[in-house]
Parts: sequence; C-alpha cells; structure tokens
Amino acid sequence: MRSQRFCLVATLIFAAVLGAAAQSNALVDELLAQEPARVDYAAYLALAAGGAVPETASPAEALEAARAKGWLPAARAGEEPLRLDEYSALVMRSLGLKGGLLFSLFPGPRYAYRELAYRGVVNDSGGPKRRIPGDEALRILRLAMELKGGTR
Amino acid sequence: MKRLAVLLLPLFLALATAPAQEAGFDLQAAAGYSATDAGEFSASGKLKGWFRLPLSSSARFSGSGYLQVGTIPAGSSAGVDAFKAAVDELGFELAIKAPVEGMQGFSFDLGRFPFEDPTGQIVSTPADGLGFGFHYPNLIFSFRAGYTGFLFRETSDVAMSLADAGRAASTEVLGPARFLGLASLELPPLFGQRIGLSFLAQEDLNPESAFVQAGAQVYEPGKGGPLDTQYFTLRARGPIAAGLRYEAFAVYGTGRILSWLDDAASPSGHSYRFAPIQSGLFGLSLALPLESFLPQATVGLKVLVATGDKEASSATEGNTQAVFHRFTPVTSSSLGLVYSPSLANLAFVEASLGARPDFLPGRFQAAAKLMTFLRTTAGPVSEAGLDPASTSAYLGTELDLVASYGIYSDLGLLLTLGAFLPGVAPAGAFSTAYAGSHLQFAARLAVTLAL
Repeated sequence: MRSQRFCLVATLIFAAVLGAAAQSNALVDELLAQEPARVDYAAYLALAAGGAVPETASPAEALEAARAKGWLPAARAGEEPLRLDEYSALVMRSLGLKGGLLFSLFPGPRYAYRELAYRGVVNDSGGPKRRIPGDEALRILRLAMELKGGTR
Repeated sequence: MKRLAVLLLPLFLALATAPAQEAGFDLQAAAGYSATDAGEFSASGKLKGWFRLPLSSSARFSGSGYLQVGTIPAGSSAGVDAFKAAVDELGFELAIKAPVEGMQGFSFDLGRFPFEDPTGQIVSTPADGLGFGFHYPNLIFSFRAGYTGFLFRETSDVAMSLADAGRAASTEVLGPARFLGLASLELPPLFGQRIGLSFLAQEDLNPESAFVQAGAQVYEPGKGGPLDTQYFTLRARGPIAAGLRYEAFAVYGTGRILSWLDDAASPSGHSYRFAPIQSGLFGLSLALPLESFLPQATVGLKVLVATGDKEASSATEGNTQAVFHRFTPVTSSSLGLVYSPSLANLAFVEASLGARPDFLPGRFQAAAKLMTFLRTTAGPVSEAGLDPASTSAYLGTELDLVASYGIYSDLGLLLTLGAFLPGVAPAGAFSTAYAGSHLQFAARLAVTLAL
C-alpha cells in the first residue's frame, strides 16, 4: 500500500513537471513496473525532464539521443538493466547539473555517481553498479530537480 | 621502506584497476609550521586508496589504506625523512536486516576494522579480528575481538608500556602486539536517556624478550613488564532540555603492572613484582545548538578526568607502590593540535564553538576550541618539560582553530591553527629551563582531491 501511494505521488510529480502528457504518463507507469529499470525508459525519463528530447519521444528515440550525445555508450542496448552510475550521468548531463572538479573534466558515470552520492541524491550503500528499479529512478530524478532548483 | 613501497604499490594499483564495484583515491598535500621546542617547517603528501565490493545485498568486501611521504624538516639533508604506509580496513562485512522475528538486525565482520570503545578515549585503532552485533528494538549487544600485532609499527597508536615504546623506537616492521576484547550492551531508553555498559580487556602479547622477568632484583632502566588491563564502562547520553544534549561516562580500570617494589629479601632492597591497578576515567560533554545565533552553530563543553599516581617514577609504567592508580589507555589520544598528552594523570577541560556559515559558496565549517590541561596528581605526565620539583597541577592552555572549505564535492581545504601557552613554574608545572616553555604554536594547510 505504501509503495503504491509512493508511486502515485511520484507519478503526479513527474506528470506535473512534464506537462501531464498522456504518453509520458503511460511510459512512467511502465517504468514504475520495471525492476530493474530498462536503459531506454530511464533515458527517456532523464532526457525528457531536461528537455533534451520532447515528451512525445519514444524510449528508443531517447536512447538514441543519449547515445548521440555521448551520454551512454553506443553499445548499450535499450532493454538492458539500468545501472545507478550511468543513470547518475544521464540525470546530471540532461539537467545540466554542475559537479565537482573531476566531473567537469571527466563527466562520466564515475564522477556523476559520486557527485550525486555526495549531495544525498542517490543511495550509495549498494555501490555504483547497482541495478535500480523504476521507482528509484523517478525518485532520483525528483531529488536532482530539487537540487537544480535550489530547494535541496 | 622501499621494499614496503614496492609491496604496497601493486596493491593500490590493483585497487584502482580491479573490477571492484566502487574504488577511489584521495590525494592530499599538506604544509605546516610548528614552533614547539624548536621551529620546523614540514610538508607531506598522502595517497589514500579505498574500495567497496558488494557481494550481495547484505554482504560486502571492503578495504582502505594509505601511503604517506613526508615530513620534510627545514635544513634536513635527507630531504624526505618519513615514509608511512597503513592498511586501515580490509575485510568482509555482513549486515542482515530482521533475520528473525523480533530482531532488527544482525551484523558480522571479519578482517581488519576499526576497534574503538564506546567512549572513544581508551582504544581507537584498527585491529585484525571479528565482530558480532545483535540489534533488537531497544537493545543492542555487540562483541568484538582483535589483534594489533599485524599493524605497521610506524602507524600503530598502541602505546601503553615500555615494551611498546621500545617497539616504536625499533626498526621492526610490525608494531606492539596486543589482544583486545570488547563486549557492549546498549540498554532500553530510560526517561529518554540511553545507557550503555561495556567491558574491554586487553592482554599484552609482546615477546617475552621485551620484558623484565618478575622476581628480578636488579633495576633495568627502560624495560618493564607485560601490562594487562581491563576497563568497565558505564555510559549515559541523551537530551536534557531545549536542545541541550549530554554524554557522561565513568570507567573503572583494573589489571596488573610489573612494579619495582620494596623487598627486604632482595640485596638491592627492591624487586620486580606484579601489582594491581585501580584507576578511573570520567567524562562529561554538553552540546547546545545555537541556530539563532549562527547558522548551524553548536557550543560545547567537554571535561575528561583521568586518575594519576603521584608516586610513579616515570610517565610510562614506573609503579613503585602496592597499588597503581594511574589510568592507562590502550592508544594515545589526540586532544590539542599542539599539546596532546596521554589521557593519564590528566584533567582536560574544553569549551568549543562550531559553525557552518552559509555566506560562502561551497561548504564552509569552522570551529574554535579553548582547552585547559591540568594534572590530577603531582606525578609525571606523558609529555616532557615538567619541573620535577613542582607540585602545581596547571599544565597550560591551548586555543585551536579549525576551518574546512569544500570548494567542490571532490576538492577541499583544511586549515588548522593551534597555540599552546605552557604553565611555567611556580604557578604552572613546566620548568623554566624547558626549551618549549614559551608560547608554542602550529599551523597546517591541507588540500585534498578525491580522485
């Protein structure tokens, strides 16, 4: 019951952020059901939130955009499980978050994950290679947007 | 030392390149100047490596260690005069949530991990061993056993006896060997207060050759006997009123010490025999947030009192009486930046103010501490310079300032400034002839980059 309530709240927050488009709601619902989350759906979530792809884009288009920008490796397949460190990089690059000295030099998963762990956005107890479920991906995005907005 | 570096370097390279789930390095460069008994510039570089390898959702293998080069005293022909290496942690940890009904958690670790008593004042050192923790809703029981004999001598903080001091001054690779056992029980809250009981035992496992034999009738300067001690601790902590929090503890220390005692049957009139130890350590700390005065500010007061023995012939061992009353911690403590005697025959009072002002970008924290050092008897303390004829309790006063500034999440500065004014005879215990009887101070700036 608690997780269902959390999912509902998270969905509403996300819907408000993205303009409550029906397609995005459907994709978010699918993402919430994923455990672990898929790379393409997570890419859609992060890139749409940052405006790097329109919210009408598909997960496959978001994945392609992330690859084209160099935010994900070219060999990364959409149906593969999402890792916490690569999602950290997607979120930071998409939202344009500033990181530490080494993130500005090497803006990859390693320093993105460490920056978000330092800021309390990601749970680092399982390490950077941990596969994360869809609801956690949504929560990380919400906290990162709070960080960008200066409310965190 | 070069051989040691050759041995450790592959370890650090392995940490950096291994398919570990998480690994990293912290690189620190520091420069400082201290004017204690003689002025001295210093510089050092430190590379700390760490890794965490999750084995499952409840188990992981982790480790950390460092290499340090420095200090470089001004005028030193050697240039680099100190090389240090240490493995702080290396082992397996298991933490299971709610393993059985009614139990909140169970933890187990095996390997090298920090070994610290609940007060943090008796022992604080890495040790090789194992530990268990049983967490119930209102009750926590933990047990830990460890061995210090595999720590490098250069970085071991175990300093209890003349055998330990001899080991520290030797060219051996490994430090003093002691077995440590700690059992702790955290009781259910009583009127909002957390009360804990603990028992710490340590046994001296230094080689027999380092000791004077019990029964010997000839005095051997610089040598002592095995020193085995136990500590019973009662600790309470909690809120008092309006944000004011306290922690108080009392430690009863016991054990046995090889002593140079009167002996009518001995040709010298004395012989080495074991005598019991009866000692105490008491602590009280208060912390009050002052948010309305300064952002995230806290004012604190800390008092530590460790019993002494006025008849002791030296600051290490040196018992000459039927019962030894000086409290003896297992590891040396860090009280002031300049003056930091061992917590034995000592009373320490510290008033502090810490704040985290938000007027700078990044993360800035600063703290000021005003400390007064007294001795509890006219006996010796661990630091040199006291007037043997003085019975004054006053040792001196120190002011320390510490400021840290996190420029980025991975780049930070740490500035420490300390000034100690010794209490000189006749009002104070320091000898006027001591080279360090004037104002002593130390300053250090360190830059750390997390790679």
